[in-house]
Amino acid sequence: MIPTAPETRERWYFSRYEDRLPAEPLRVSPARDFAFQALAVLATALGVHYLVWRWGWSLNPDALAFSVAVAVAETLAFLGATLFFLSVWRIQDPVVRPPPRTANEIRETPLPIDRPIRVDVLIATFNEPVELVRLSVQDAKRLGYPHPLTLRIHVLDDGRRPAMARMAREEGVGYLTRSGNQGFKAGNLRNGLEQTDGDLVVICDADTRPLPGLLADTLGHFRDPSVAWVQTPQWFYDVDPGTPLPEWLARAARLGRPGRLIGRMLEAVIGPVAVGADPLAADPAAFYEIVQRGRNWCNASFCCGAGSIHRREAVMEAALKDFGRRVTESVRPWTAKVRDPELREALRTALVAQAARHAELTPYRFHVSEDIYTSIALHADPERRWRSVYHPRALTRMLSPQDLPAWTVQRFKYAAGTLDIGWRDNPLRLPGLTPWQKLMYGATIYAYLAPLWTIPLLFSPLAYFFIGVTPVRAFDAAFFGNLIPFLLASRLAFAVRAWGVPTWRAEQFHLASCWLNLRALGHVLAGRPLRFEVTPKSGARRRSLSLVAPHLAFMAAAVVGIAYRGARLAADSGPPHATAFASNVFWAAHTSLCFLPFILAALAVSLRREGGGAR
Amino acid sequence: MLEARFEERRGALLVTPLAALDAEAAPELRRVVGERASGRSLVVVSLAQVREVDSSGLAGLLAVLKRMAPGGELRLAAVPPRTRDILMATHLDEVFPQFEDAAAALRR
Repeated sequence: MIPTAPETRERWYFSRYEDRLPAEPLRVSPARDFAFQALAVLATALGVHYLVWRWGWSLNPDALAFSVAVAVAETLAFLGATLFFLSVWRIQDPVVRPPPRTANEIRETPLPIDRPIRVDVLIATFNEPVELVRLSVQDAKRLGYPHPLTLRIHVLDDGRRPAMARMAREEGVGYLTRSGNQGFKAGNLRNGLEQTDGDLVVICDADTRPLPGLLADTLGHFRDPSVAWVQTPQWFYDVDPGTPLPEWLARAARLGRPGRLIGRMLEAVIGPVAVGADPLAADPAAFYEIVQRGRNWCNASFCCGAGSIHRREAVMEAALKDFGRRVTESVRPWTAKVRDPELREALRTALVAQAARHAELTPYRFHVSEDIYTSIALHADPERRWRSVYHPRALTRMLSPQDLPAWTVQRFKYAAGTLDIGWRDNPLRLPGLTPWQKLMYGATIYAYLAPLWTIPLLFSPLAYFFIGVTPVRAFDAAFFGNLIPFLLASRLAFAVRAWGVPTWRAEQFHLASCWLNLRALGHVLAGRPLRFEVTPKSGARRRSLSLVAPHLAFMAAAVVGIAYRGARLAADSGPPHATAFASNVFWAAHTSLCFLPFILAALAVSLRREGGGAR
Repeated sequence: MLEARFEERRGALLVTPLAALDAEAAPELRRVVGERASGRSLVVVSLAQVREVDSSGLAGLLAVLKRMAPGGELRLAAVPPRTRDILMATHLDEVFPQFEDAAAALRR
């Protein structure tokens, strides 16, 4: 026995969440689907109505360029909302089938001598603490299965650390390294694939701890030989659950029993509220429960790396096709010039063999967003029509980014990686994808263009405060009468779709990260290389004011601007000005409130850093 | 596990695998055949005894090719029809020249 388990329970900041279990996925409800669809159609119709009015009757002739810029931003935002509604149109879970007994039950062509299924668990690590990886290894060893199974666990250590090798030996699992770290995580996984032989491969990050039911619950999907991979939700078990509102009112707000009573009454009306929950908006529940789950029905759920199970044959075959295509295309420019057919063949054979020696075979694309890139490649294979399955139950647990810099590294990677795929290898142009698959991938890429409309919209009050220009002719009854029904219907549609899923924090951070996403967009358009920074898995919360400088600047400017415009208006007042002023103050205040949790997260110095944490 | 016969034929290496070239055989294919093929200019892999070559096996053959001398050729002999299909589908038929049998593949 390894004497580390009891120690481990004490030494990590997340030890106190050790016994937490993931929530069950929300019940699929056709009635809710229908209510959402009705509201989404209503919102879209009201949106079109508003935009027709907006372009036809509301442009401000006194500030035409500004007015048009804001109207363009509104139109782009409307397109984004429509795409989003379409991409979450309905939720359908895959049919669960019993776990297969033998390899032939998941193979397209049976083996002459059947055998138990072979599963390799690949745990990729680069610089994470050895003892953290040990937790993942120990949990992987506890994976259960109702039938005989050949389970092999491998630590893929790109850090080539003797201590990691020793840990793997102690735990009795495989340890694989390579000489360089080309391709980073994707290259590390490739090396793992090359040295193992499982029918199925479980992809884990260093901190991915499988729950015992992972294989028993998901392997049934592979009975369909066209299923290439199964993705399970990534569940961050270390996210701060916050304090229930009644408790918070009673203790933190020092209101005692009356406070608790008020809290209970409020919760009876609006549902459970947890104060201070998930301060870093790390909880990806909304993404998995709404976005991924909404893609099952049209075979467009994509792989997110950790917590997924892959059919080796699918990944390898797709990699070979991609390899063969790249190699043959690379020699075409040279052979095309040769007229003599015999000579051309000879030249081609020689060149192709040469090109093949230098090209890389990449089962997982060497890319920052290797998971989504690989998903597109598999979905787009016209001969195979590979299927992906999003399995809605969380069957692994992992750690969330622990401070704003770590969060920023992760989100920048997501944004730049996705935009880079859209820019270089636009899935809309891939003939192998179905229209719905194109729409789903297109919606994901489009969502990362959000700063193009959020920044003009968020910052337009500043233009009003300092220059006095308004994006509409007047903030009058016609404006509000056209806009508010649309906004209400949109919010309602979204609320129904996201019923039971916490989204508020994610929305705040989405707005607050517009600056980050704009930088990612600039990065990709400038053609700068994408770095493979490992998302920091553990560590102290660090202060980072520079990340929130734009947000602080916005709030300061808003305060100064409100004072300035207020003073000007006090001099020569009038009702129309009053509504314009009030509208812009409201909008600026709303934006500031959304920025606030983001700023607080940046300021949080060693907030709740109990137990030392891992470094 | 890779079961294979290795023969030297006129400066070329002739490899005759005796079972499937699949995921199970691939790690050894890379290591053992890769070792023997290293720096050579002609390697012939005869598939006469092979029932199946899967994508991991093909990836293993690519790894072997990469270790050969510049300008070297890895030729396949007696390719079974199903393997021919996957070679076509992956465009690797252009990377690995194919021959009727080992004797034809060994002719320079």
